[in-house]
Amino acid sequence: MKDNFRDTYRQYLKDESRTEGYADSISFPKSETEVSEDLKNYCGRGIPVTVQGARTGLTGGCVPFGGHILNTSGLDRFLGMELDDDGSFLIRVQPAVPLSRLRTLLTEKSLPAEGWSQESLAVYEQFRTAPEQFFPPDPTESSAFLGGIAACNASGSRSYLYGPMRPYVRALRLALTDGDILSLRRGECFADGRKLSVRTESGRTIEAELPSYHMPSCKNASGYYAADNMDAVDLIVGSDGTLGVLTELTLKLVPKPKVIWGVSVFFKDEPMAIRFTEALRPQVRNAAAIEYFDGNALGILRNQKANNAAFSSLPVIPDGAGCCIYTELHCGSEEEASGTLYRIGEVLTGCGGSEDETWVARDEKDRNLLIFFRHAVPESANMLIDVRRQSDPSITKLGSDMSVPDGKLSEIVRMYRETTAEAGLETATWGHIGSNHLHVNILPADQEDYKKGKALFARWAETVTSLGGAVSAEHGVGKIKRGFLETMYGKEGLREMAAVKAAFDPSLMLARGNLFPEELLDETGKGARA
Amino acid sequence: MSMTRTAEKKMFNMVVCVKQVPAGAQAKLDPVTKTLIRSAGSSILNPYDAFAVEAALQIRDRLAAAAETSEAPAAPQAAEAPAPAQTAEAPGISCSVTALSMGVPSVEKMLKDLIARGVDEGILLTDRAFAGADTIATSRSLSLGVRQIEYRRGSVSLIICGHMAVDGDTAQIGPELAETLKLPHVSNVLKIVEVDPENSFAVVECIAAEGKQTLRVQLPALITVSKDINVLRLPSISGIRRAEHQDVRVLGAAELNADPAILGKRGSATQVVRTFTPDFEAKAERVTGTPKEVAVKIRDIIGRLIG
Repeated sequence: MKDNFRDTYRQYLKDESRTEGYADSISFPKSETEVSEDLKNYCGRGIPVTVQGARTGLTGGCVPFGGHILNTSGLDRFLGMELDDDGSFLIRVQPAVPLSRLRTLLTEKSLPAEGWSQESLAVYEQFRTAPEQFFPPDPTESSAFLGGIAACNASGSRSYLYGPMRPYVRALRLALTDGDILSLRRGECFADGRKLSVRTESGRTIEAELPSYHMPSCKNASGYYAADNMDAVDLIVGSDGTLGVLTELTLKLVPKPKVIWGVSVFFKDEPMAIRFTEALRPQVRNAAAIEYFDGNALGILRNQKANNAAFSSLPVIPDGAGCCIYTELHCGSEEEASGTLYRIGEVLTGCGGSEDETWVARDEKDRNLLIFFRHAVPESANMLIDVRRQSDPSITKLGSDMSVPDGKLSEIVRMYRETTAEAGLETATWGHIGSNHLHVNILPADQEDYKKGKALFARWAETVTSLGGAVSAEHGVGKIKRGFLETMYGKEGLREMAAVKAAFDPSLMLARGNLFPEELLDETGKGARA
Repeated sequence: MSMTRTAEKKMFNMVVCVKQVPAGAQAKLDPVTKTLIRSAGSSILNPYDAFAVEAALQIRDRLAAAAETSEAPAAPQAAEAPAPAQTAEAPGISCSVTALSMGVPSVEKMLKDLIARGVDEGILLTDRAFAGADTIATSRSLSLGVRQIEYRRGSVSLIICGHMAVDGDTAQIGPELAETLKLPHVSNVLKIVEVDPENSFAVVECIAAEGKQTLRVQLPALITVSKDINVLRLPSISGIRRAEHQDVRVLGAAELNADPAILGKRGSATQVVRTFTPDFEAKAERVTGTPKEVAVKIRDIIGRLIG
């Protein structure tokens, strides 16, 4: 029976982290009611439930290890539109709408509005005649579901200007493991200090003592968000599916900038690129993204362009370029964009770069070329690993996702370089240098490298924590990174988080393995019963 | 000393003919004149012409690099990287790339963009007298533009065009321009194997009826390039700075000393009698039932479609 299940549903047992698990059953609910019934049915009987969406996550959060899979892909409807208090457009969706679909429909101004209320249709008419709107969070994998993006508080490159997913969630509906529904709207329910009290639709009050830790002052998707007097919505976003199942999201849209330009600049070496980043940040206010590609990442791309026809349209990387920084400008006019571009040129020259060796994308075709370049890096690294996996299937790419506060960039990069060199590991590094958040990707050649890489990540988590950083900046924690969470918040921090989980999910059966070690949940369960 | 060297330099001037075309599926036709409404919707550089521009820039880069390595520099090399977008001033050779277009005044912006990408100058032929031209009248106008470039820069050694424009699909402009200028020409070039300014020839690989053909062509010549032979380079910050301060030369019929009778609609040998936008209708129909029922339904659908 198990083998049968595995054969039929194997694709539902893994995610993009290449983690593979096992399960006994799966359901594809098509309504909030069906989600509630499933949760009550399984969690109520002590059967673990793993929630999954598009399975594009990088932390194994949706990978089951026993029990039931609740797959949300049947919840993919657009439910309506409304106006926020500040006049912004809000769009109400079910969790399985893919980011790419939302983007396309917003650009086309053509939303599937069948069955919407009169109020929604009236707002939709306003939307159709208003300037083009867009949804800023942009995780690289645009086939990700909006529910998954909210579950791990994902962000992507544009978070440098726009922030992560969290502030764009204006309201949500959460199905709880007892079959109840929690409906929250931003601005309506706040914690009193660290005491949070929310009321479910059936009238049950959930009271939780929020964790006492302090959030790092950098990009962060590590564990429960906690702050004095915080909005209840902020706890749910980024909770890695451990508190309930999102069944609806109301998301804020913003007007699309009139002018979007992309600028890639090149440097001989990494210290120059870091100097450039630090010099650029205070001078350029309209940069939506500041992204980095190191020499090894460029090497992988050069190789792909030369040897793989699918990558032949990549632009020619200048000879002698040791690394690259891509900046995306979001401006109100071409004049503003030109002014910013020239400022970038001046900073570049000041840091030893050349304005001649730059790529400026001012139209859609060129912008798509630079986006292709950006996305080709992780794709190519994955292809490289897939080839290596043919000789050793147990290895995977190891991608770090840690961020540090401003002022610590040089220090952390030096540490990455020294420790990987010491361990003799091959790496390719890219990511969000503007937010001091680089993805150092260890490319293991064999099982030994893989083990060394994992051990290094644990060391890095300690260093990052000591620098006031976050062990997960945008991928979430899921199952793969839960060990780092203890490094970041300590045992007590984890216990406080587990207590919050127990308040929302007394069965402790939802998303087991995410954030918390099994033992801690068992201990929390015993404590609650005592 | 540099004056002397400049005087000895071999000139290698290239012209790339470029056209602005409607972006994507935005082409709109004027029901009265039967011609494209060029002001409607957004416009882009004809994709084939992008390959032509890049081909010319690569030749310029190659010749400059070859000249640099073949002759010892007279002065110590500057520490800065050479500015690749400017007229290549390598010892022994002076290369230039001029982008030439005929079109509405707004094409100036497209030519400025090409300057930002590295071409040395942009020339726009714009005049009501050029309007409504068929391919022969267009190639006459372009030939006058080439003569203007020669008047200013000296003889043109190589003209590169895209194989065709995606809004007209005729692929006639290149060969007609070559014939007007009495130049040898090669169409549908896939690869520019060699350009030898010293001995005035180029070797190119082009699409032949069956397979590929390698041809040696005497310069000056005209070639049209096939698609996807390269990727047009992006503008650089320095290129954008230069383009901002460099004007596109805008020339009318009078500046070209043109006889209006041979240009535009008056000078056209052909006239468009009727134009229409073909309707593309894609429909999907779900066919269900037993295999036999499905077969009958499919037969009926095919019967309906072929009338």
